[in-house]
Amino acid sequence: MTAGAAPLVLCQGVGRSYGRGDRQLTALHDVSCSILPGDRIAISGRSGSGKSTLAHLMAGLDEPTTGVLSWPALGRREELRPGCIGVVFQSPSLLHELTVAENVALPLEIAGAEPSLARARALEALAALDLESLAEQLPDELSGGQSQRVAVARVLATGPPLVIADEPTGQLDHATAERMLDVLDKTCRALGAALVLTTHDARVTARYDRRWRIADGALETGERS
Amino acid sequence: MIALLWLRGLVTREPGPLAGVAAGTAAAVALLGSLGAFFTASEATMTARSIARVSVDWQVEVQPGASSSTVLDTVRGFPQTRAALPVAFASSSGLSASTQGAVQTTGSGAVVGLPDGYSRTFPGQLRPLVGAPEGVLVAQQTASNLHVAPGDAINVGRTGLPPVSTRVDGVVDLRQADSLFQKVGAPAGSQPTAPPDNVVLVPLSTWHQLFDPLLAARPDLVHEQVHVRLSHNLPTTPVDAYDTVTGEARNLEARLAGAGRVGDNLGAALGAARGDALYAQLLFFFLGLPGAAIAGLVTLDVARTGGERRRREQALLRARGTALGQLLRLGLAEAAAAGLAGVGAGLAAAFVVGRLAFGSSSFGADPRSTLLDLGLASVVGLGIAMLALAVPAWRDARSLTVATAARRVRRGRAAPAVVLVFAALFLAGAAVVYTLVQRSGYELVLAPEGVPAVSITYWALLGPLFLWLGAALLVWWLGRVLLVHGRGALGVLLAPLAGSLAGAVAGSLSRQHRLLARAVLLVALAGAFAVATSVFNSTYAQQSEVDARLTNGGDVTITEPPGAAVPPSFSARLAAIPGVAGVEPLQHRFAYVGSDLQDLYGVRPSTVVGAAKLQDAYFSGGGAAQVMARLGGQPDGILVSAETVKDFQLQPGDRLTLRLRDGRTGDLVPVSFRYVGVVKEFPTAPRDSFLVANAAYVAKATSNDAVGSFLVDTNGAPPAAVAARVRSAAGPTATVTDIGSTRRIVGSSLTALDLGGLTRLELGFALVLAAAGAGVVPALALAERRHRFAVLQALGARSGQLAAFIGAEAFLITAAGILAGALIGAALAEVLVAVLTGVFDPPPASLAVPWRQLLGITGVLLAAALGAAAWTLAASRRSTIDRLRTG
Repeated sequence: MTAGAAPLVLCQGVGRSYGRGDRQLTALHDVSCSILPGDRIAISGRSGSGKSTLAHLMAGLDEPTTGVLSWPALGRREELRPGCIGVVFQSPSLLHELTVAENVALPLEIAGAEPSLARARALEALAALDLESLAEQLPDELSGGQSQRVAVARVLATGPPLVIADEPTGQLDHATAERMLDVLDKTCRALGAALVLTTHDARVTARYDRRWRIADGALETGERS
Repeated sequence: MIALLWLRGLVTREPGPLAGVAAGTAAAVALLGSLGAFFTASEATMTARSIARVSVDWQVEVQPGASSSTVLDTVRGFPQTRAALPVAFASSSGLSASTQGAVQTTGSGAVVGLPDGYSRTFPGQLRPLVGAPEGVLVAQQTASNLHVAPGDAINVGRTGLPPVSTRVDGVVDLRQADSLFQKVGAPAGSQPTAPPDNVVLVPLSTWHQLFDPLLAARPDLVHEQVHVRLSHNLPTTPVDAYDTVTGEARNLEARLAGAGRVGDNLGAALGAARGDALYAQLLFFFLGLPGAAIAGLVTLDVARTGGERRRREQALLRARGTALGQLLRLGLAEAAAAGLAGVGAGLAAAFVVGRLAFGSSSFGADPRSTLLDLGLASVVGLGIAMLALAVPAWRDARSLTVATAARRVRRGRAAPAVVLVFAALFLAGAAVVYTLVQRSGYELVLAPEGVPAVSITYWALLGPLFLWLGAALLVWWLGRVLLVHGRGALGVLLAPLAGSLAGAVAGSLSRQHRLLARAVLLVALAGAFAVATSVFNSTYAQQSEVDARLTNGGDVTITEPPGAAVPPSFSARLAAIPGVAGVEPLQHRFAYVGSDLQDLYGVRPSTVVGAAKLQDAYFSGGGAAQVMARLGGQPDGILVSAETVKDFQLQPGDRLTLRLRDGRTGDLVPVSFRYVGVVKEFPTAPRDSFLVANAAYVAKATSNDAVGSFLVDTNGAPPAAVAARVRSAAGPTATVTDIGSTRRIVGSSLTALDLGGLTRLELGFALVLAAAGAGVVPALALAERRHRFAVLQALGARSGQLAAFIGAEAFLITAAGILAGALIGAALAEVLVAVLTGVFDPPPASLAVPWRQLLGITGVLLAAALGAAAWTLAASRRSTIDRLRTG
C-alpha cells in the first residue's frame, strides 16, 4: 500500500443488478472501497455472494448499474487492458488453437507490439515462471495447474500495475493451488503490482494481509469504507 | 422417461444444433420430395401430351382375304374401344385437272374413303382450309399441284379402269399424314414410308363406287382399315401407359386371329416418351441426389457444432455411472426427435412447393409409387438425422472420458497423400467419361421403337459422380495442406485485416485446418451445386428457345397455304399492326434436286440474320452473318444441307440445277444455282434436307415472288396477343402461330415442360444450402467458440481486432469456398450437359451462363458469411463474463 498515491480503483456506492422488474437480481449493492498501488487483498465469500461480480467490475470487464467506479491512477475503462490490469480467471482462459508462447504473447500483440518483440517478452515471462519447456505446447496438452501458471505468465508479460485474480485456484487441488499462488505472489512482487484475489477458500485468504469479506452483495472491508 | 427429460433439456437450453439437424433433414426431404413431385407431374404431362398428339390411336388393317365387317365388329366389341370407323385406301394412277385453260397432271396418288362423322370422331386428323369440311376433299399440296379450288373438277385415274371425274368440295391439311399412310406391320425400326404427294379424300360410299371394281381386279392396290379411338384411362407414366397400350394391341390381334393387324400410333407415341421419362428420372438422379447429399453434409456439420456440449455431458453421465446402452438410447432419442421433425417439415414443404411450382400435390404416380417416394424421402431424412446425431453419440459414448471430452484442438498434420491419389483417380475417371460421351454414337438412353425394354448407358453416370468425389477430395486435401503449410502466406494475406494480430490469427486458422477445410468444402459443394444447376437449367432453357424459334420462325409466324400468291408487299400491311416491330418475308418452294424433292427457302440475306435470330450453329464454314453475306454476294448462290453436298459430291462454286415450278405456266423449269455453303438448321425448315437461296433470284427465275411465310418480330410485345391481331389481317387460309404456343408443343415432351418451376426450385434449394454452408454452419461453429472471443475481449482486444479474428475465418471460408465452388460448378455443368446431351434439342454449341443468377448466388454466399460474422461479433460482446466464468 502506498499512502498518498492515487488509488488504482475507486468504488463509490457501486451496485450491479441483473434483469428487470420482479425478476431483478441484485448481485452487488452500495460497495465503496479503493485499491492502492502495492495492495494485496483477498476477497472471500461463499459462492454467489458477489465476489466475482466485484472482481469483474474492478477489471473493467463489466459496468455498474449504480454508483461510480473509476481508475484514477490507470485511466479510462477502455484503456485498462491489456497494459494496466492483468486478469486471471477461474478457468485458464487460454486460446486452444494457439501455443503457450503465442497465448502469452497475445496481449502484447493486442497492444500493438511487434510480433517478434511480443514473442521474446513471452518467452522471458515463461522462463521467469519455469515454463519455457511448455512454450510450444498446445493448451489441451497441459494440466490444469500448468494452464493456470501460463495464464499468470500472460499477466507477467504485460507487466500491469494491478492484477485481479478471480478464484484462480477454484479448479485445482490443494498442492497445485499452493504452487499456483506462490507463482502469482512472486509475479506481483516482481512487477510491483497490486493484487486483488477472490476466493472461497479460507486457507487462501490466510496468505494475505488484507482480507475483505463479501456476503449477499455487501462488502465488509473491516478497515475503511 | 430419461430420454424425454434429456430432450426437454436440449430443446430449452441448446436448441440450435437440434433445430439445425431438423432443418437440414427437412431440406433434404423437401428437395427429394418436391423434385419427386416435379418429375411425377412431368411424367404425367408427358403421357397426356403423347396421347393428345395422336388423333387415331390404332389403325387396324384388314388382312387380305379377311372380312372387313368381321374385323370392324371385333374391334367395336373390344373393351377399350370408344369409337371405331372403317376407312378405305386405294392407289390412283394419277390425278389431273383442267383450270384456266391448262391441264395439270400429277403422278400416282392415294384416294381415301372416309365414313360420315370421321372428322368429329378423330378431330386432329384433318384441318379444313377452304371450302366444305366434308365431301370430296383434296390435300393442300395436291390442290397446289393441280391448281384447283373448291368447285373445280378433277379426274382420278384408276389402274386398268377408266378415270372418273369428281368435283372438289374443300381443301384440307392432312395433319397426321405420316401415320395415316403408314405401312401397318412394318418391322420395328424400319424406315418410315413417305406419305403420298397427292391425296384425295372421298366419302366412303363414293370410294366403294369408284374402287370396288378395282378390288376385284387389283386387290394389291386397295386396302381397308378400322380407325380406333381408345379409352384413355391409362397409367400416368409413359412406361406403364406404353406397356398397357401395346399389351392391349397384342390382345386385340389375338382376338382377330390373323384377320387384322394393329398399327399402334398411341403405343408409338408413348414409346417415344419412354426415353424422355427415363431422362426425367436421370435428371432427378443428377440434380436431386447431389442436393440431398449436400443437405446431409450441412446437417452433419450443424450437428458437429453441438458435439462439444454432447461430449462433455456424456462424459459426466458416464462418470456418474450411466451405462453405455442408456447413453446410446439418449442419442437415438435425440436423432429420432430431430429426424421426425425434419421429415414432417420436409414433406410439408415438398407438398407446398409441389403445389406452388408445378401444380402437383402428389409424390408418386399411383399409391405404390407414392408410398415409395414418401418412404425414400423419409428414410433419407431419418438416415441423415441418425448419421448426424446417433452415430457420433454412439462413437463418443464408447471412447469418452471427461479429460478427452475437453480436448478441442489436436496437433494436426496435413491430409494424407492417399487422399490426393484418390482425388486424382476420380478426376481422371471423370475426364475419361467426358471424352467418351463426346464421341459420336453416344446415347445415354436408348428406347428403340417397338422394343419393350429401354436401356441406359450406365457408365456415363460415373462422369458426374467421379467429378463430385474427385473435386470434393481435392478441395479438402488442398484446404488442409494450404492451411498447414501456408501459415506464413496467410499471415501476410491477413495483415491488412488483422494488423499486429495477423500472425496469431494465421496460427489460429492454421491449427483449425480440419474444421476450416471442412467448412470450405461445404461452401464449395453447395456453391458448385448452385452453379451447376443454374448453368444446366439456363442451357436447357436456351436450347428450348432455339428449338421453339427453329420451329416457329419468328415471335409470330404467318404461313400461307400452298398455291397462295401473297406478295412481299403484304409485309407493310402486317407492319402496321400494333405490336409488330418488324416483318421478314420468307419464300417457300418445293424444288427437285435430281429426283429428290426438297424444301427451298428464299431469303433476304441482308435482313434475315437479325429478323430470324439465326444462330451460328445453324451453318457450317462460318457464322450466320458470314454465310449470309456470302449468299448475298452471289445472287444465284444457294446453301444446301451437308447430306446433299455428300450425295451430289458438291464443291464450293459448283453449279446446281434445280427444277422449280414456274409461277405463270405452273410447269417445272430448270433454274441454275451456285453452291456457296452448308446450312444445317433453318427456321421453319424440316430437319432433313432443304435449301436456302436469294429470294430475289428465285422470284425472277420463277416469275413468282409469292411469300410462304412472314416472320414477325414483336420486340417484347406478347406474341399471343399480336398473333390474335395478325390472324384477322392474314385471313382464314393463313396459319398464324406464336412462339409461346409453339414452345409448349414442339420438341420432345420433356423439353415442352415448363422448366421455370424446376429452375426456381433447384436454385432456391441451392441458395438455401449455400447460405447454410456459408452462414449458418460457420455461425454455429463460431458460437461454439465464443469462449475464444470472450478471452480476447478480456485481454483487451478492441472491436476491430475481434472482428479480424472472426472476419478472417469467415473470409477464408467464403472466398475459398466460392472460388472452388465456381470451378467445380463450371466443370460439373460441362460434364452434365455432355452426359445428358440427349435432353437438349438441338444440342447446345456452348453453355449458357446466367451471370445474373451467379452473381446473385455469390451475393447470397457473401451476405450469409457477413451475417454470420456480424452475428457472432454481436453475440460475443454480450456474453463475455458468462463465458469466462464457465470456461
